[in-house]
Amino acid sequence: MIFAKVIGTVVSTSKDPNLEGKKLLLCKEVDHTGKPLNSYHVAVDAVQAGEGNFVLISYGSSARMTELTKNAPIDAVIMAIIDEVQITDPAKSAKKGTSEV
Amino acid sequence: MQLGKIIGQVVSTRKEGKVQGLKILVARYLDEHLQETGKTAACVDTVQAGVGDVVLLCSSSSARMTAMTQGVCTDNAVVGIVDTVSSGSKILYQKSDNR
Repeated sequence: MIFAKVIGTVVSTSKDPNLEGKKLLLCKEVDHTGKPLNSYHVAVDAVQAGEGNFVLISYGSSARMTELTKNAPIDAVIMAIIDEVQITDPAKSAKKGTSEV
Repeated sequence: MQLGKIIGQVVSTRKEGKVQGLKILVARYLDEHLQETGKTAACVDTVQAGVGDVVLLCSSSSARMTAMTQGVCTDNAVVGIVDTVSSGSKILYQKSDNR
């Protein structure tokens, strides 16, 4: 999955029937710290995300593996809202590791 | 999905079986600010999009999940015509203005 920030909303009325009733959010791809990268996705929202949310997106055919998006022409879905990202500093974990051994 | 702008269509008389009868449009990809990028793609039209329309482009095997493209060898389909793109209170794109 990729990290992304929801930056906007896309409205489309004439679209594939399987896209009816699904919220389309404009999402900027970012790295795990929130630094913007240079790609974006219009993703279907499966977790009631809103603008400004830090989220996880699954894209490609895996985007269809949710109840909401199965059998639909969807190649990106927001499948998680991130509360927190915990990165363990390798130096700290190594020191801790040696004292336990 | 990605945002794209329809700039033309592909005419091809010799096409693989199931692609016969399907309209293939040329779309130029847009970035998240709706600015044109250098990247274009040929996509099967499933929503009667016209030149100048800003559209939703669906790629990967999901492009085959529409009634028209079921079982067809395509990896890119136009699956929606975009009316509005907004970011907060800012309108990035409004269909009627850009006709």
